[in-house]
Amino acid sequence: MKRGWLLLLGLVPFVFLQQGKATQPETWTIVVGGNTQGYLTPCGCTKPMLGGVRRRVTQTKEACKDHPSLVIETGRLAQGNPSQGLSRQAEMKVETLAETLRFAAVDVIALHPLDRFLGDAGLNGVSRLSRAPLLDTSPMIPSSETMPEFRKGPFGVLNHDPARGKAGIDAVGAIVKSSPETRWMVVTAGNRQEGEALAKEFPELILVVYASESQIAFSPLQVGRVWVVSPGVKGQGMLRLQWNGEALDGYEAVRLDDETPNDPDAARIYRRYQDRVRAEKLLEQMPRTSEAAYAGSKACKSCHTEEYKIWKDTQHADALATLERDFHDSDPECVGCHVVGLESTQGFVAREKTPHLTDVGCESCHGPAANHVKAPEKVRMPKKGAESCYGCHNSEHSPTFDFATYWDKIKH
Amino acid sequence: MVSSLLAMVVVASAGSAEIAPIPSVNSSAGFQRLVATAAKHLEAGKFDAAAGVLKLFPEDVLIYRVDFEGVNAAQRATFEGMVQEVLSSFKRGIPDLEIRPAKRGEIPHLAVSFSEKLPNDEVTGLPKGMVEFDGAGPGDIRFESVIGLRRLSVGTVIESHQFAADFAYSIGATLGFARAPRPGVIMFRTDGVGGRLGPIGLDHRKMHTANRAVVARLKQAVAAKERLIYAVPSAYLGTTSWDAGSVVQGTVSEQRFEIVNRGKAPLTVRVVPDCSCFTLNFPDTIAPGATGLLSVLMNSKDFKGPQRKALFVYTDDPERAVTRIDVTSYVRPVHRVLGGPEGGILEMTENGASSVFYFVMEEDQPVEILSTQVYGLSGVTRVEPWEGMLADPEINEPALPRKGYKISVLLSPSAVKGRVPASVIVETNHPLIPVSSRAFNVQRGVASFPPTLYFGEFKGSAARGYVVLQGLGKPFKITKIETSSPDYSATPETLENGDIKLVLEWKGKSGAGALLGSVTVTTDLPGQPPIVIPIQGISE
Repeated sequence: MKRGWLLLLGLVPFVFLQQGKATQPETWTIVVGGNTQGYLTPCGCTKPMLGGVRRRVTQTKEACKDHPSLVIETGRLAQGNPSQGLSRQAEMKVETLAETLRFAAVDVIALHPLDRFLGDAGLNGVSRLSRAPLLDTSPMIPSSETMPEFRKGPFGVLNHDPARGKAGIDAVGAIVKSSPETRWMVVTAGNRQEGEALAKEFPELILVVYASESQIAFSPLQVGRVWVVSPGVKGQGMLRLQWNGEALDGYEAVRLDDETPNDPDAARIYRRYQDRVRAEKLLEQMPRTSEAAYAGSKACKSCHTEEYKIWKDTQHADALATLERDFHDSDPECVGCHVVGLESTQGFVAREKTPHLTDVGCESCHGPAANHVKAPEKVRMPKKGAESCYGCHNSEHSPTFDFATYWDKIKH
Repeated sequence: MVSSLLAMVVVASAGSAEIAPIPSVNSSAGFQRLVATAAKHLEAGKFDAAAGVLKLFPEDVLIYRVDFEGVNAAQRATFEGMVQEVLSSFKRGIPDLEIRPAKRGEIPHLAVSFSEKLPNDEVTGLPKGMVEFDGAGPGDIRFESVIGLRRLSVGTVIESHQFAADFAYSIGATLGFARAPRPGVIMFRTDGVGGRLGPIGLDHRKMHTANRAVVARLKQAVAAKERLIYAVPSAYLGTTSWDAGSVVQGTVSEQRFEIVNRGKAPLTVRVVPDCSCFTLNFPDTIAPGATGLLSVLMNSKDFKGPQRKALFVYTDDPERAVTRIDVTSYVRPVHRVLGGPEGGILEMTENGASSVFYFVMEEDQPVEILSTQVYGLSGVTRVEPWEGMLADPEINEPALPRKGYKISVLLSPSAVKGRVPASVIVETNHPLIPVSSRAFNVQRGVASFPPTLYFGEFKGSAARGYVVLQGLGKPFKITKIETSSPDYSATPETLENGDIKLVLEWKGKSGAGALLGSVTVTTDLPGQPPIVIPIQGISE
């Protein structure tokens, strides 16, 4: 009986829909990902971490296998603020991201205003490696590498920079009005409010993608007939939408968690990036900003025997190995939290050269102790509390960190 | 502890009768309703009726039936494969639970069937992914789910992972597990969004054990014809959102939410944040008629710009198993370094280099500068009070009036080769955020951007790309180009601003493999060392 009313409710509109169609409209899958900000891989010591371009490629391939597809990358490719100049590692990450996106068959990369600071040669590299055109509808800095609009199938894609004010709105309006038969989508560098404003300004759009400040939203926002969506932040998720030939009618917010396997092509490219980081010796080139003298954990052992024994059984004492297993042990962004004193001229250099400073040791929390070891009574070590954990166990890399829970694991 | 005390109070007031067990906060509303029904019967002394309800619950064996009517042969084969995968996951997660298909004529605990398309969800306007029914009494099936074969209004066919998630959800619901609000866990129902099936582990085993204990206690009461007191909690949250407004980074914002228990049994509460920036304090249990305070501290130390977070309040109120509280705020950096050379590149000359940075801070949280330093190169800084207009593109802030200090940086002459990174570090007396910094690059003469040309993987025997030789506005000419192999060629093209675009090509004959070459460019700039541009790539 339960199924009876269900069938009535469910099938009637469906049958009606089928009968009303003269021809079968073409179904499209639209995938929106991006706002990667250099986060090629989830980074952290707490599982499950979200994101990663290798997972994104897997999910994009999966999403696009049944229907014609439009894959949009929303830009903000590099970490930090490229207007201040890019580090060598940030440059390599942009190249790696672009090359990886090739395997996701990205159709267009809608540039974020900060991407413009990559310069023409940098943008050429992005386009060349991703094999996708770059979109900049209202460029602040004109570039020979970008185009003002992108079209595929019934769709057109534009982007919008809120900092361009009226000029940015007018640029979108001029293109949208000039081709009313096209189903337009706009990627804005603005936030949700600015996305909603665009949707109100141009009700003929079908989709507005905004730059989110948060995790991916699990339902679209609808302003009239316009869907206002965001793929979230730092490439942690992606959106999969469906176009039924007349309107958007499907929305899946895909969280890129550890249930999604890495795509083998993307994994190969990522592995090559790790090799490039190693080959260019970026770790060795890191500026050493202090001269703090470290002694190594073994130097503490003779007086703090019990504490040393406890430490030896913790994951801290094997911290570098976790990076070595994933080939991240030459990555300047990772190593600092897995060794002692990477910031110091007298700190960790390499496992072979400074074995005593390998892994998270006593001095990672208690501070440099070489002077204390020389004169224990004269040079006292300061008391340390939870604050000494927060440098590494921050909300970015250790989002579920709770001092009381974690302290239990290393209590000494 | 509080819960037991409250239970004791109720027990004392009711003479010898004991309060019926209340399902855990992690159990589903359906499970809680059935337990409540059984408890009501036990209170009324209707032991047979209670037994009828309790019969619905699986014990050591969960029997299921999947009716594949309406599913085509190809889909069916896929789904049957997914059924086995899900069963294996449950076997690994809850080893002492057997899950098997129903035999002919046997009433299952779980019945799964399919419908071509389901009615729309009132909230999303999209077709539901599943419609579910909890059995109510003897002869019923404990849990029935009807899974939509077409998830979208035009009828996109359900995908195998969505079916797997929905089937796993159905098993969990039969066992009385609460629905989870986020994907990536087994109790997330797909409904056309989210999707992947998470692992089944210790948490689920604990939930299963807890639910079994509740049912066992009720069955024990039936067997002993023991009357229990029926009592159910009822949660009421007046507010389900919090806009913490615009706050300075490092601020710990505080908000309190009242959770009123309007029911007759102690209310158990569990609050799960989606961010480690929250510190929560809430009573585990709220007595009937009492109000509990959920106190929320949000620490903005690690964030800048607009923020959207959420708290999930789980209760054992069958009508309000989970409530989402949305939290928004805008975090203004307590201090930051802005300015610096245009485009982030500072030109190093024979006399050194100079640039101006601005250390800006929030007016209501002034900080003192303890030191300013330049890292990467040797230099000195001069600090003086400043106010003016500046934008912060990193967090999308337009030009705004700001106050702080002007930091003039003077770098000593240095034989910088090409472009090198440097940064200004400002140490302050702020206890939480002691340091702000701003990175920039220093360049002497002409430098290549990017410094290495990376072709990536490519097919065929040719690859092409370009770098730009940037002279920072000073005109220069290329006097010589040398390549490491005849396979490489380099073609210069002078741009409007005087920079030179150098198109690099590889027309290799060496077949597949790694490319490791270089181009060396000599310019007419006095003192400019040759510029070596490594070329990397993989010819497939």
